Amino acid sequence: MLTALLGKNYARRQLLKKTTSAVMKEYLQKPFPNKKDLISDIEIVSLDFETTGLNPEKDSIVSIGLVKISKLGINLQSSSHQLISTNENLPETSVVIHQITDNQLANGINIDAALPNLLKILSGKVLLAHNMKTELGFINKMCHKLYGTDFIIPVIDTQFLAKRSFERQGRPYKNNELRLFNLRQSFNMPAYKAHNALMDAIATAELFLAMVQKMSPENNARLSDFLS
Amino acid sequence: MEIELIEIRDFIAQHPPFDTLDETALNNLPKKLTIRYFRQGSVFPDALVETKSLYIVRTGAIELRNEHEQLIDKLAEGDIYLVDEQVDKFSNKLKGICVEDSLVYLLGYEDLALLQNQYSEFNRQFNQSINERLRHAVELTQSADMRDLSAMKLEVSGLTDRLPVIVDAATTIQDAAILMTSEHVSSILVTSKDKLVGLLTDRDIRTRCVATGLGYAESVSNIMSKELETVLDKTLLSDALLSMTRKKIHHLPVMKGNKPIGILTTSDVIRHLSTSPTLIATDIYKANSVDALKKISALLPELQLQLSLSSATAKHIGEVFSSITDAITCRLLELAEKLYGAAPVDYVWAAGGSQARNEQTSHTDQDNALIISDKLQPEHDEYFKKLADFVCDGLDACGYIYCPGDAMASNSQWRQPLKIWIKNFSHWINSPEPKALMLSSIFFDLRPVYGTFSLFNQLQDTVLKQTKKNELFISHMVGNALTHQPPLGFFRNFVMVQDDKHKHTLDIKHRGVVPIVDIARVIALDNGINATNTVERLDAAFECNALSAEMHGNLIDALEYIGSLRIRHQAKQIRAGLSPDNYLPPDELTGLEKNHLKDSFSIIKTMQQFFESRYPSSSMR
Amino acid sequence: MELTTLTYLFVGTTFALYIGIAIWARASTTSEFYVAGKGIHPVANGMATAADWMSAASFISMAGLIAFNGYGASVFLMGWTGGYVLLALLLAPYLRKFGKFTVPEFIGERYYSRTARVVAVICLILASITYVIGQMKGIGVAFSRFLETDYDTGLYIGMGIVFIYSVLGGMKGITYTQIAQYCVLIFAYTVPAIFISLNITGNPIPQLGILSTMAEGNTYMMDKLNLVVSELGFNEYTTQVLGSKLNMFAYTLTLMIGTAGLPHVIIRFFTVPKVKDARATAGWALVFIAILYTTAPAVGSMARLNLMNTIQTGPVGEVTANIEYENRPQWFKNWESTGLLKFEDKNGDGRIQYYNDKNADFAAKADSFGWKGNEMVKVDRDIMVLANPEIANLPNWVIALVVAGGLAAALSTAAGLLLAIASSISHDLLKGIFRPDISEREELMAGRIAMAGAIAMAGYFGLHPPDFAAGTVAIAFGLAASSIFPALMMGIFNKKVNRTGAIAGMITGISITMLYVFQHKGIMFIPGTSFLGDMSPSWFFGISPNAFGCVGALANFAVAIGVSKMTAPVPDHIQHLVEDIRIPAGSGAATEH
Repeated sequence: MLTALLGKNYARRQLLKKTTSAVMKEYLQKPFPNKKDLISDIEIVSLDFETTGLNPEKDSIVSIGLVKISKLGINLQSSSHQLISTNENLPETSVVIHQITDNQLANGINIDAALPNLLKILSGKVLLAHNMKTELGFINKMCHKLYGTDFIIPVIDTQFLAKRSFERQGRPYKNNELRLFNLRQSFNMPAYKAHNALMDAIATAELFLAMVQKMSPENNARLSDFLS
Repeated sequence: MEIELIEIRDFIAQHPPFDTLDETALNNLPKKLTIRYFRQGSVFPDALVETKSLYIVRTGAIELRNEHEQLIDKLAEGDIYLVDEQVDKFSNKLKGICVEDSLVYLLGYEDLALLQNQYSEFNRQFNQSINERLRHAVELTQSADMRDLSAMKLEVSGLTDRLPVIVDAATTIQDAAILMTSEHVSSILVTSKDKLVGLLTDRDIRTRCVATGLGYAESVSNIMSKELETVLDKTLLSDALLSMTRKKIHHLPVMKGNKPIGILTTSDVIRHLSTSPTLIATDIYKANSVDALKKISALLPELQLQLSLSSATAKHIGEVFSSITDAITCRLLELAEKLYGAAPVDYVWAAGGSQARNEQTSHTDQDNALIISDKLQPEHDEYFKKLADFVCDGLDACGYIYCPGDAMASNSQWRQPLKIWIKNFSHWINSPEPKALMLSSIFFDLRPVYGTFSLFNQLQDTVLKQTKKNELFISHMVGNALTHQPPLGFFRNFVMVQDDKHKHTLDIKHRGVVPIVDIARVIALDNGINATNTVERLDAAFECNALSAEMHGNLIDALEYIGSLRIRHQAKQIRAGLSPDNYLPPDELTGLEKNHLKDSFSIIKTMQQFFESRYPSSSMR
Repeated sequence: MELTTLTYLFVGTTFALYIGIAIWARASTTSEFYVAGKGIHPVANGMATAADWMSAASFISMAGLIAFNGYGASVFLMGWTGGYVLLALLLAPYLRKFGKFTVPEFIGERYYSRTARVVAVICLILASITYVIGQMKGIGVAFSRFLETDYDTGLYIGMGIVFIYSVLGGMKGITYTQIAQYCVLIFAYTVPAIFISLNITGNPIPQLGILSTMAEGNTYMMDKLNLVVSELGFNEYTTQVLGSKLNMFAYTLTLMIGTAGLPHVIIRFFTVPKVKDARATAGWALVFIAILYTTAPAVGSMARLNLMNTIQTGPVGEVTANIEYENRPQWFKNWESTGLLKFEDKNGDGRIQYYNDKNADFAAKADSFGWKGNEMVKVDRDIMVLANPEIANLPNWVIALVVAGGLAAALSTAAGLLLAIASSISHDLLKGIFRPDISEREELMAGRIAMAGAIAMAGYFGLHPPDFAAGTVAIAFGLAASSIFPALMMGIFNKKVNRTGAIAGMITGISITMLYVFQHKGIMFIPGTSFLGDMSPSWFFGISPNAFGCVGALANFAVAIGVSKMTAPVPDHIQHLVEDIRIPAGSGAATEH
């Protein structure tokens, strides 16, 4: 309740006081961007996980793809794709979807090693994801496990934005229409054949840029217009 | 590189000049890019982009325009564009306008320079493409009044108007010859197992069969040309022409994927080039007789067809046709002056109606007027009558039929000294009777074409002074503008034309274009705006706050949208050998297009309702 | 056929006719591009103007006023006719020459001031809304009778219909529709009048009927009416006046000059493109208006006679001469259900006594008959025209026709006025002053909201009427008379009046008038808030609030001229402009016709 009123930065300071983990301390040190800042001035990280399933308690992360957006440009230089090694065997279905095989996974690093890197990148930024529940859920679970604390970050969710836009227009929509692929199609964006964490993160970032342009052609929107 | 970025790499690798790069360079390239998204209508470079970068269009379309708003180039998927103020002064003045939502890759200037240094072929091709655009732009600016429509930018698929005749490789020469005769073609394609294997022309039969004494029962594969040069349907005409001349071939199969969809012949290309607007204008100024002009104007429907295929906008096409009509009119006047001697006193020939608004399509009826200096003596009338008759008859011969309302300079009523014109206009303004209102669409849209323009300017100044903020007159004009209503029913349904001849169609001219034109005229007269073109009138109205930004944008969009449907409809008719009309059957439209059209109509409706409520007396007629 | 069915049929048919004409008139103009229409003949245009001009007040209320006020009500006839002539001769030609026909535009330009324009807009809106109240009331009466509901429900339904009618806009103004409306209206008005005139006097022409003798006997109809009403203690019909001679004069003057400033009337003069036709139109309109106006006195007096004869069937004082309530005629019951006619059996004899209990002499006499006061506690004057055919026992179709006619009269005027109000509020006030950057779509919406607001306000006052319909209208004229008319006159005929003077004048004029009306009739007409009482003794020089507009106008003139003398003179170019307007049309090269 208080968090809702006082904002993410307040919550961040509270958490900073509580936490004992050095990684977490470093992550929380940097203030989050001001809600009133222009969206074009905000640094955003588009993030996508490929996972073995949707339940953070049971399933695990297979790969992490991310790319940074600054000045409303997607900076591919900053893009990264990290395979995560896991002890369990991949269920057949996710092999089909992600075209990642166990063999490839062997090249990955452990999630315990990957998470500090990820937090370093996310520190002081805004997180962008399509349907943030997955990404947030997994990071949150990992943070609890490794550092014994909550994870907190300002989030922009393209799925949420799409839903809100439909609702504002008073237009009924099917759940199917909220899928990344279909939303991109509605913005005349190319369909990417490859389905991996990085391409999805890029695809989400592109969709987000389109949404920003649609909402404010003059690029004068504020961060608060987009936050979930 | 990240293997995951392969899609971006593959895209770049397909397009020149990047296709000259080696694997290493290509693999490193994606990481150097920034992706940006531009919404339809947005202009770049914007404040967020570094000034020096190379744009690569991933999806969408971008128009490049110079400071005169002239279209320099249109960028589509895979096209590149360099924004750099240091390197060339010219493109600095260009601005890009996204005509579709566009996804663009940006390559930093330093990375580009690195590539240029490292790969000479890349550098050569890169410079060539940039220079070509530059040269193109300069040429355009030089021929300011005649905009070349980048005829060479036409895709070859637009020129092949029939499916190719195809035979199997096992067919006998005789059967092939019979087929060619019955199909009236000089070349056919030969396939084997659905794969294109060769091309057979009249010439092949003559030189390789008849001349060598080969039996007619032999299969065509013996005499056909093999290892064919082909082009894809999306290839630009200029590129196709280049390979035809370089390889000295006259027939070029056009492919869509692996499927042949036509044969491009040299005669197609020549026919096309002879109808480019620049050539036509040059020919008009060289023409020495009405007959010569008549021959040239016979090409106009063909030109309209090609312009519509080259994705020119409706506004653009209107400007081209009006300037051609201007050119023909001027030439006719020059010929008349040669015939009857120089004019005894100053005069100006003014065009009315759609020509004055720069909104003509290929052939419409003529509306014109002659404004003569007040020094006119009664004995001069003879001269001006001959002059006017010559020009009006000449225009009629060229396909601009006589005005059914007789609003032409050959009618003595519309061939008057300046003071009578001023008096006439004053009368129309103070007594806006139905006849005056009818004439308004012709004479309140008047543009000088030839002669002493200052005469016209005096008239226009006087008229605008009288119409500006003249409620009485404006209200009658509004009433007149409301007579044509968009064909939209109460339930947002289309209201079709009733008469038998055009049943189940929409009259998109009178009920789509005309209402906007009429409203723009009213706003112009109300605010003393001297522009005649509808879009320019709306722009000027917006600038002087007579029109809100919202309505301004909406009306222009609606006008262009309806105009583009009209152009497309007419192109279809011209291609089918019919004479073009304005009756659009809604069946020609997709669901989305119907919706767009309805949106456009409802914009017009809103605007009309606004004017009706603003001038309640306007409907009291 | 049943009356209800017939009424539905007539009202339905006439509405279908109007809509049909509107659609036809629009559709027919689209194809004939090079065939200019010939324009509308001045006769036709005159009819349309007459329909525009004659409101619910003219159709429904005027005869009612005459029925109850007798000769005194002739001020309405004189005032409205005179005002029309005044407008046609004195104002319209000059405004036309100026090229402006909305009054605020003219005033804004002539007095080179946005403030003046705003003040004019506000005055106009006030006057127009007051005028609409009268129309709403008329519509309410007609609908309540037509649908056989009480008056309130009738009014609500009427409000809805007017809103739809005005918003759909297109059908309101087309001249052909108005011609049809005029035909329906004049037919509906004159046919019952002819029947009744035949019944009573044997003369089919009502205008002559009132001057002739009764069908039975040799008494002149007017004498008979005088006798009947004075027997019951009412004022003698032909000598009854509205207050003093001065009040009569002031009332007439107010109506005259007030008429000249109302927006929907001025506009009509500019819908004809040629000056010559405009004059002819004005002339014909006068003829067509006169047909109704000259019939009105006959309708009024005959209705009164019929009403009295229905209730008082025999000599005054005889017990059986008063009709029994149980035996009251059907029309009595019909109008009772609308609440516009009310009977209260004060002496409990089951019979109706209708007499003037305020007349002390007669009240004493009535006492001796055992009468305990006037038992017709409510006789709404507005029902007279609509009830007239029923009272006279005319066939059902005539009754239905009159309902349709009343609706035609009220709707055409109300819609025109509401459009003018909506346009003033959305364009002159909202766009002109408060939100210059408003888009066309928003302006359109604002206009509709303003229209709905005006209808709601008019509806409120229709439910709580400050006076009977024509009286309300008279106040509207008073407001226009005191503010607009002087500003227009001085704008044209006195080049020395400057903006400060004009603004001060308009504000003074309308304030004085409103103050006077409010102090006698209650602030915003709310009963009980009047601080001087609506009684003749407290009237200024015996002038009634309805007639006070001309005093306001005088004050307006005086203040405007006085203030102008003391403040900066009018700029030269405006002075030239004023001189230009006054050169008669036709003398300048640019105005040749």
